[in-house]
Amino acid sequence: MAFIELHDVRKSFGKTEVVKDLSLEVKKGEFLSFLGGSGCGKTTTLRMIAGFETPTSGSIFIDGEDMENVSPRRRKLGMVFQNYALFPNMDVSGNIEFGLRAKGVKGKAAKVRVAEMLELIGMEGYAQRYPRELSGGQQQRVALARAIAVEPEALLLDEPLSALDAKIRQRLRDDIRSIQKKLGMTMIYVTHDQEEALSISDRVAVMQGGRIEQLGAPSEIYDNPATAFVATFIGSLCSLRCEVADAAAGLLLVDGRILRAAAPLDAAPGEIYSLSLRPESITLSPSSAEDNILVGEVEAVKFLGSIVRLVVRSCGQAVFVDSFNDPRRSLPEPGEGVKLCFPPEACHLRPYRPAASVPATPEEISTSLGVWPILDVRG
Amino acid sequence: MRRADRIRESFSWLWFGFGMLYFFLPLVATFLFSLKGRKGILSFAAYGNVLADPQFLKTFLFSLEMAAFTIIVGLVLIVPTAIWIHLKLPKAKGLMEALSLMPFVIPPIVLAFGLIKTYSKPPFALVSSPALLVAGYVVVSFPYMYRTIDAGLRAIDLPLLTEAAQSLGARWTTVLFRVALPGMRPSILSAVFLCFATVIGELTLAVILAWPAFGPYMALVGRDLAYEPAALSIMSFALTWGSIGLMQFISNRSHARRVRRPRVP
Repeated sequence: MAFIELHDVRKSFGKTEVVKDLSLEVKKGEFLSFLGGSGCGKTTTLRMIAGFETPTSGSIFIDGEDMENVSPRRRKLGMVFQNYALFPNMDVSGNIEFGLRAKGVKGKAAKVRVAEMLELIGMEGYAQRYPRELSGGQQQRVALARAIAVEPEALLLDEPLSALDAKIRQRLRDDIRSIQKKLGMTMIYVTHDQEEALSISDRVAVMQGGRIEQLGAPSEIYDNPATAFVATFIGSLCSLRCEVADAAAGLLLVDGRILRAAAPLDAAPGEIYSLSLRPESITLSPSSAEDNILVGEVEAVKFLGSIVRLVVRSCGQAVFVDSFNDPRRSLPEPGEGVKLCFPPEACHLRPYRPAASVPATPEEISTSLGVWPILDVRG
Repeated sequence: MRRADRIRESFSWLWFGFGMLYFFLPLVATFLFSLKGRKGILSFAAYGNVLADPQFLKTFLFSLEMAAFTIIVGLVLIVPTAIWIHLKLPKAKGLMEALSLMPFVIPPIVLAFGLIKTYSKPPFALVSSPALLVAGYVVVSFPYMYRTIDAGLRAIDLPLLTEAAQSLGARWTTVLFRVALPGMRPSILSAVFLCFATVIGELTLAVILAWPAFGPYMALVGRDLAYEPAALSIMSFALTWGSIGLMQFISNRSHARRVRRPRVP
């Protein structure tokens, strides 16, 4: 049975509707992430669950109880904020003890619990430090301990790692996941960082324009994106315009070459489709006889640390080819002709839509996302 | 250190020196002048004359009392208002800022006559009550108090801390007394100091409402005597700063007592 339920929840600020007909069920002990760009409604949804915003319509149930008219302090939910929100006038132990005292836990019991929490976050020697004497990562650990100390039914985390640098972010997200598993706690996590969401969640809800575009396990979302938005938002994707040659046989025509899809298509011959490929699914030499092959010319070779990305001009569009950085292997030079090989299973096909609403080329995708998508996509 | 850095640092010190001279030269000159009460020698005779005058202590204590009431009334009015605006009515921030400028726009003399006109006949015959003077002082010190407290609230991000406290199960009273007020402590202290300094030296309201306050006493002494006003200025300066220092000391001690509690093992 679902522990947190949202039924047709809407939220408007003035004339702007930021959450539209959102329905969702979160199971007890589950780690669910809301992933999306700025203004997609993910934080507003979290704040409605926490009780800091009231839905314009719809209802929220926690453990079977309707949360309408239930104040935030009575919802038995913990919350971790992006900017830590530690009380500056209290030291670390005072911050952790705050919620315990509010719930009537005092004296020795409170002290024991504070010590347990400090041990859980690995900050035993920091009880007497004030927030201003801690680094960002340490402050967020304390905020986490403070929220967990009161044993909430579920923990809501609103972009808790956004203000931290990359190394600490990575370490802390692993810590959050291990604490969640250790305590079996239900957690709802808001982030714009796809790597973060994919790496720690049981399920990810990809949001856009106040709606959930796709809800599923990280691998499901990455491998089988349900919508064009999810396909472009998660990871990196190169899209080519193609024509259906034989729908029953799954044959497509791209730039005069016949390509094979993994399954038959429900389309009429001659219909225009969009063929999307993940850069990591393309190789420069065929691995089996089944592989589709396109030809192209290398435009640029980009070194991205552990990944080397070739930008290849094929069928009039730029296609990315990613491979692990291997110093023993020689890379093609710009201007050199190459083969682009990919298996039928790597072809993501959907009816073609003009690029006005959905980025079609890698450049458009990169531009729309602001940075190299494979490393860190921020909406 | 590079030459450019040395030059920049020298300029900083130069301007700091100018600033110090600007503030302290008049004080030093006033102090030296106050020591010339007896012909041919430097002495504290003028200070002795001031202290011998019973009006000095009487007026200072009166102003001190008025300052205490003004601070209490001001804080009771302004602190909850500012908290409420930050938490529930953020749109009203602009209006409050504009309102807080009104005492600068309306001269104290207009305020004083307005108070007399409004409160001189029943049902609000308050003109002979010091409460009216306190009310006037609250208005005069409102810009300093409100703006200082508002800045303090902005610095601690009260809405966020309130949400954090509520998510931990805290009631409104707990939020107010354990989160908001302790977090606002520095700004409340600054507001108290500014209010105190304003009230101690205030002249117009006290003269027009006819109260024996320290401001009118200083003006009177300055009109009739030569060296005593200089001595009085120095003494008022020292008394004001001494009082502010005392408030800071008491506040720091009580704060230190609060945070010095048994530690987690």
